[in-house]
Amino acid sequence: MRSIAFAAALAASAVVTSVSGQQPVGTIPLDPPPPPLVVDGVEVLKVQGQVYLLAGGGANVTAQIGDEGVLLADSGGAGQADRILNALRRVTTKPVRYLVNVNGDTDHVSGNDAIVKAGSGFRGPRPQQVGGGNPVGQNVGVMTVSHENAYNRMTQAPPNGAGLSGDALPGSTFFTPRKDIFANGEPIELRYQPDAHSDGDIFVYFRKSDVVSVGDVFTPHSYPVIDLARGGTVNGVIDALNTIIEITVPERNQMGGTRVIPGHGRIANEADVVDYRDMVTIVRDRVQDMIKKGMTLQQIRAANVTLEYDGYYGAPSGPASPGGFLEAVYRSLGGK
Amino acid sequence: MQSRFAIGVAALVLAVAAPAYAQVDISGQWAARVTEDQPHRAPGAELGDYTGLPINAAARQKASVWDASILSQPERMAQPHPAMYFMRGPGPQMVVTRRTDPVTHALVAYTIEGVFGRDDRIIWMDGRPHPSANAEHTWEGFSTGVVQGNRLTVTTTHAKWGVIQRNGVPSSPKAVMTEHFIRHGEYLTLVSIVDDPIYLEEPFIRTSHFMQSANITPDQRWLFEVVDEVAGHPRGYVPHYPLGTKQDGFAKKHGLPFEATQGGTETLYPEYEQKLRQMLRSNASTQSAR
Repeated sequence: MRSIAFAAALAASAVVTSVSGQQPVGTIPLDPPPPPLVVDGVEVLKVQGQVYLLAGGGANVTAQIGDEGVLLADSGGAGQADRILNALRRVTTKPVRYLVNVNGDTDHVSGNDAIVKAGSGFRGPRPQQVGGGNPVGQNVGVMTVSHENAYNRMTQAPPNGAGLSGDALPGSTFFTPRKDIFANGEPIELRYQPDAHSDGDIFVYFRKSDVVSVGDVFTPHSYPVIDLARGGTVNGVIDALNTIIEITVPERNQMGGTRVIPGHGRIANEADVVDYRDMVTIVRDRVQDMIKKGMTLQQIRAANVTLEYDGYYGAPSGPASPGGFLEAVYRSLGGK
Repeated sequence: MQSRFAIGVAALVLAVAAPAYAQVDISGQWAARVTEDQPHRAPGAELGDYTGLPINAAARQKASVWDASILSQPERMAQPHPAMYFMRGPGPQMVVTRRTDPVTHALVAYTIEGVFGRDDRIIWMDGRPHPSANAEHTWEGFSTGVVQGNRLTVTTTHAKWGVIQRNGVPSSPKAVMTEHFIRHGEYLTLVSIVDDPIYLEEPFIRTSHFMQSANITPDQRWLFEVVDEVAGHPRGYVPHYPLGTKQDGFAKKHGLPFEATQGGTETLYPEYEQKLRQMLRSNASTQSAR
């Protein structure tokens, strides 16, 4: 066991530190960087403080690693849990103690069941187990948390699939604007973002590490998916983006400082969110103006409303495609 | 068009290249010579002036709705110039330093200090790879350099959203910048080539010049203060001109056909002169008929 722990510690030291501070360039260390840590297609990047990003197993997975164990924000897509856990084991041998879902989407929550089982089951009594106890004890296993709306969405069957049940469902939910956790010596805020990408989005804000994991309201390489069927709205997305901008503090001159882990895509900071917020706001303003003028969706589509953004943010198809995004904005603003 | 472009780049690099015995070391204190394109570089280009830029329709639309008031957003007040622009902007008066391994004295990096907003640069010379697609983008981007003959060639990726000109002409995070630093004794020529698949129809090439100096003081504004410049903006205020805005003030002021001020590959090449003359004649006859 000691040798495993040593190997894990060694591997942890080899993880690429992709984020540097903003000290004068003349004082930056010259040491060659360690090679990227990619385990079976899952890349592990240290963000800052105790927080890591695991990318490549569906939606981004955020890991806070400390003396008490691991807190995960999300568990990845279907069939990805083993790859994610293998990658995690390259940087720590500590047990997973918390699993937070930032929304109820399948690419964020499909590994819940496997991760809970790998962590000796649920920590604490589940609602249906009150009085019945937990066979492995109150303080063993994984505590799982989501917003109540996300929990409800998880129980519903997605297209071509079945709703989650049993160990895959969060053991704890909340419906208040905020829920706090203290783990690994760090205050962690779970902040609810109403009616944004969906009706169950939360931010996971690691106050000491100065990192916020924000889920699908911010995807720096693509248009946001506004899931109208699950309660999403464009104004909720914009509200949530403005909240990220309020949370984040750049180190100086819009550089560094609070880091942002998006639902998909690269590590970011406030300046990236500002560009994204501006893009969504400008598109919203244009569509709103056109709706006021009585234009139909077809007419709005023909007006090149998103021309300057399509090349970068437009997915080839689906809800993050130029057409999909524009229609979601239109419908969200009351367009018929 | 591509072969003509390639020949053009080769001719440009050869034209500014120093003899083989020249130094490749770019360290030192360098003062920018802002004699070329001064109005664009110091005061800044006027709204709607996209002349000389190989931009596409998407870039044109982004630039035409750009409102300078956006720089009054608290979160933009302190932003520096991005990599794809700041070596061209006002200055930079820069200090370039060799960073060497303390034991082997091998060159590990050049650092460039003094760019506007102090998003100072590191040009890694030790062969390290560029970061993965999941890594953070920065204002200065991630730069690596190699010596090719008598020039230092630098490749920069991982830059943030920015501009290639200070009137809202955009560059995207997918842009890649290739720079050739060519030293002629006390003079340094920088050939900068921006390749942006999102906003450019073909690579955008500029040359800039620097002269060695003994008294460079890099921009001391290490920390820009964010202040309340405009009261009463609602939360999340994003100023922008309406879709379809025609930024024609520059064309009218200078008596140019609007189309000729809007950039694009066609407008960059000598053949366009014929078209421009025809448009000017047409405009003149229209005006005389009034």
